[in-house]
Amino acid sequence: MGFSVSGATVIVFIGILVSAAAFYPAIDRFTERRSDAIDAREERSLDRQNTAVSVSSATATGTPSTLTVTVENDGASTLAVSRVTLLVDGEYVTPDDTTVEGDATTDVWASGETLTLTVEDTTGSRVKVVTGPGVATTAEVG
Amino acid sequence: MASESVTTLIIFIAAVSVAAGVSGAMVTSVGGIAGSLDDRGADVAKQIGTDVEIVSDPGSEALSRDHPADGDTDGTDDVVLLVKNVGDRTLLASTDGVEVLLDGRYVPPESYTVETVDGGTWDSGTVARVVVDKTLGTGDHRATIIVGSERETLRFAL
Repeated sequence: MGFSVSGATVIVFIGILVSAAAFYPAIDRFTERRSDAIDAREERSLDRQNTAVSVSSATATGTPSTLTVTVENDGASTLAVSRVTLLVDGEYVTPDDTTVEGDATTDVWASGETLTLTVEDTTGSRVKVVTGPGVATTAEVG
Repeated sequence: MASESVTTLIIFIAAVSVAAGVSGAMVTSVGGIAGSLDDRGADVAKQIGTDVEIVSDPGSEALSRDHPADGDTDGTDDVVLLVKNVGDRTLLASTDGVEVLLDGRYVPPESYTVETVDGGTWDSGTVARVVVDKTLGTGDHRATIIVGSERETLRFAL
């Protein structure tokens, strides 16, 4: 009788060990994925809080008119030029030319620098510039 | 004496069999739970990494307009929303990945289209255009875009 109980106990104990060995890595992966995702979200949130932009000028010149929008990075975040969205009168427009402090090849729009967006053959009365983190600014075309 | 040994053997075999059954069931169940937990972890990470922003300019007239340039030929005004992916992952730019509510009412998938403005994938930082085949009257309106568990609402007046 005593031997039966011991044998059964050993088998159940081995079962518990095998289950724990399967369960622990799953919990570990779950918490790691979740905490990585939360870290990334907090990073995005911090970037958003550190982002501030303002339109210095928006002018339409010439015939057909060329729209030139200059935007100042007033925040502390470094932004990506390729992730900037320009809306003219509420409609999405792809700029013909984008320069940061005169450099047309860079994608880095650092704090304190001015981004110039140029759109050919466009008329509009209102522009909206949206940065990568989603922070936006609007201005009337003067 | 011999019959006692047989009885003990039978009890031993029975005890070991029951224990093995219990252990087996436990290992199988825990394996299933571990698999579900893995899937759930991936889903939670996806949900947290999903973030969109309606970037349409409510101060312009472009939210409700006819747009023949995009192949719309019915001649009536549609609601046009621009939605930017500001999260970490690439989203599905189709009616399967995006749901729309207009003034709190569900819009069925056959009544709207979703496509990226550059025709590519809806990567982080890019914009998708949601066109709802519905003409709104003058007054205040509310448009809600739902992507996964992420929900964004834009209030505007026409």
